[in-house]
Amino acid sequence: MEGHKKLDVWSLITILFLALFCLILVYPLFEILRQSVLDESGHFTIAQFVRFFSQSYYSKTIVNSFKVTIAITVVTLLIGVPISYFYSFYQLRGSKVIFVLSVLCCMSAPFIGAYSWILLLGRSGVITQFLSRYLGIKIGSIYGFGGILLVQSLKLFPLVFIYMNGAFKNIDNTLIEASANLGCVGLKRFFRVILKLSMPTVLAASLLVFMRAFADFGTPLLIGEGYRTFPVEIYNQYLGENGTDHNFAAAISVIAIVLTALVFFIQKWATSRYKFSINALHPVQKKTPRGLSGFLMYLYCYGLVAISFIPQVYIVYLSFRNCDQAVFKPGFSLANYQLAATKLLSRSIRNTLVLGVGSLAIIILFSVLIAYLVVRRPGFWNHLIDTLSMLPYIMPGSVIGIALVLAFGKQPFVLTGTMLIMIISLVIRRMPYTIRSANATLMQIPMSIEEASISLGTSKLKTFAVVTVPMMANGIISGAILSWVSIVTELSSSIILYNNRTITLTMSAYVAISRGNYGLACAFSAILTVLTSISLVVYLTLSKSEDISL
Amino acid sequence: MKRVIALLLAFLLVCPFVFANGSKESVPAEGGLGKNLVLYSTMTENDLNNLLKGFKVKYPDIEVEVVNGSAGELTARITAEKNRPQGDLMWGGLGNSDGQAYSEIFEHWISDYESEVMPDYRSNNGFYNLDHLSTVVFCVNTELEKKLGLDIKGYKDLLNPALKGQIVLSDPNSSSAAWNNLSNMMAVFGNDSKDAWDYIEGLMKNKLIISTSSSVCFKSVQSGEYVVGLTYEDGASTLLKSGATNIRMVYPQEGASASAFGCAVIKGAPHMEAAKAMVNYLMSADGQSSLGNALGTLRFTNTKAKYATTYLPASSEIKWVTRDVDWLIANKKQILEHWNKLYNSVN
Repeated sequence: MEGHKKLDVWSLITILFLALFCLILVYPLFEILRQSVLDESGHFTIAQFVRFFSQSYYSKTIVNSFKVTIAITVVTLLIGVPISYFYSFYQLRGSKVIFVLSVLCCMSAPFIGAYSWILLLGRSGVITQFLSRYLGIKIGSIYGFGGILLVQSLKLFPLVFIYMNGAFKNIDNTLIEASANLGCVGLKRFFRVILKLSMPTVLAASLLVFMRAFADFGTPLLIGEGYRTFPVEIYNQYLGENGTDHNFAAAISVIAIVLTALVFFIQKWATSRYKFSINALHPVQKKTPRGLSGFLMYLYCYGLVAISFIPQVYIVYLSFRNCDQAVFKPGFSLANYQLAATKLLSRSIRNTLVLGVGSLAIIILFSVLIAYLVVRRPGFWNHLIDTLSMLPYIMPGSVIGIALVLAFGKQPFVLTGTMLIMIISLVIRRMPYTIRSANATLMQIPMSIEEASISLGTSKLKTFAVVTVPMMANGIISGAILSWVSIVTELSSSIILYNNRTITLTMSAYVAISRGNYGLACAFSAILTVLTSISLVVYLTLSKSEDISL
Repeated sequence: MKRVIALLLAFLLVCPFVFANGSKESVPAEGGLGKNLVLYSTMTENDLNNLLKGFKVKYPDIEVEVVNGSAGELTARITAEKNRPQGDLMWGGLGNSDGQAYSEIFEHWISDYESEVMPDYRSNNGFYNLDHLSTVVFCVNTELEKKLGLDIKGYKDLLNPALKGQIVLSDPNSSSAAWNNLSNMMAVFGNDSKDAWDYIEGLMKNKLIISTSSSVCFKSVQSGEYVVGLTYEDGASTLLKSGATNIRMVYPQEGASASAFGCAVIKGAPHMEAAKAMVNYLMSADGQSSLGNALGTLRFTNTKAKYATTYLPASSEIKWVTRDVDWLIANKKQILEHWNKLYNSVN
């Protein structure tokens, strides 16, 4: 900072943000820490932690979570990197379709895939029955480790796909040509040049997949059966029918935060070893796929996307089937939708839209302001704001949910059961992503334009509003619609915070599944799928681009 | 310039209140019974639809909104909302083996009909109104049973290796239905006895599947995912009522017992009077008779209630065992820890 500076508008905004973050981030985190070291009568104890680590019934959940999460991360890379490579280096027909469908897969509500795969591949699933009746093939259980791995990999590989597309696009064609001149082509070139150049992105994508998979709650809940994972255990401790134990849930949450933080830093360290910058002055020339390899390429891309998208299509199909509670019956009708209409459908849709739009507006406002503070006025306090805002990135959704309940379920701030607490959770969960992209955007905008505006007599705030923000708009909007979709399909913290007044479409679908009203669940899920599809189409037409930044 | 700051400040300060108020509006404070009632319930769709139908006849002006969930979810929600109650009463999942566990979140109030309740099922904590009984049963898929060549009669049949990985129970740590089944095993084999734990270990070694939701234990048996579900009468018989022909209920020949479940008014309920009216309705002979006849799947506790249990066997056809409710209340935590330890060593 430039020495002693007069307090201006921006200093005021810094103070406001610090106060706000203390309230909605630091205070809940502090509460969860405090509760984790208290016993029922309020005395200090570390018994909760001892209990967790000494009883393998609990500590095993960490091992399970890590095992399945690492497997998911590896598999998404294995299937995501090739599809992105084909997409970026070859002129595929219908590439837009591949792209849009795969994005839709990762945007779907977290548990819908799991639920649909059970209906398809479960012990009495359609495909299972077909295979065993006509072909005599018995497929193993879809539940447990394998099921979680299947569902999550097919849902999360698009993240790798999207990330890698960006990296591959930045590779300069001259590097490819140079390696060819030196005799390095084909697979060898792919591993030694192309993949190495995109290593930072591979690591970034891995981290994102890891965090999502580790924190995911809906999939293991439905398809995990005996395979007990960490987020489900937190949920059980908090919402279990017997022996509900808030202090223990808080202790597990603290352990979760420590572990994810550790992973975060390991990734940071790994990334720092691959620091270099390339300027793609000569973008890669896309080749036309030919012959057998071309055919295989098409088969791979379309096959992968089709398999990932099947669950959603099947759900939409089932939503029109007649259904009595858990049993699908022959014939088609709108009965499931009519039933949904009596089950808070209109309220769910209204809440979903209000929460989505409201949270998004706040996220955008905050992100733009914070980006400005961090990029244009770097200093201790503004970096503190930046760091604080990143905290939720390493907190699983259920941990945020519990932290908010612990903090805002009692005086002086009683917010449980309100829309506000839902908005707070959505804002703090999604903000890290939008702040990142706002920061990146602002860094590319030269300061001279703003200085010109100020030296011409426009006030700082007005300059920000009429000069800076419009220049940032593109970068912000691209991230915003995708944030919106993930807000709309949010489950893990809402499940702890929602009630009948603040229920959303995702929650309605979840409640229907967990109560065994399968037809109803399909109807809610189908509406949700339509909503996310429309959002994506709106986004693609508005932004006129194929790029998506998450 | 100043105006912009003022606006921004105003926005930041006001927005919480705007949203907070938005949700407050929908909680009207009215005199008398009021027009709204929020019911938290673990009961099946069938139970709830029929309750609301009967209640509507008596109180046509009250609009009832139902929040469905497991007992754990709902009690956790009520606890979280303690300082700003959103629900009025809870029905189902509140069992007589809970003791004083939820003393803090419910009104210490008992219905006007308590004296008519069977003596065994009078409130044992002063705030649960125990209206119905939930007997443990096995829900058996008859098609799959036949295919395996089995005839399942009781607990010992479940140890048959042919049923490996085909028996499902919900998690006793989080489901009252599973705790009900575990309690019955204790009653049959002896509280905390070696026999009891040996049997449970055998069951686990036969790859007992633990599901996250208690409705899985009858619904997924009917859909063919599992052969046997350890569950409760009401759930399984509701499927029979809706026309399922591929399942049957087996009352373990070693003995069956029931847990009494009930309803309670949430402390500080926004629509207190309407909530009490509903509890009174659920506990009255009239209410239980009409609900009982509409359902045919549930046994009630009011001695004066007269109804047909069309989908249930007569009480005399079942071998009953008695469970020691006080012992269960006192030992719940320890039993669950033993269960968890055992589950972990087997799996």
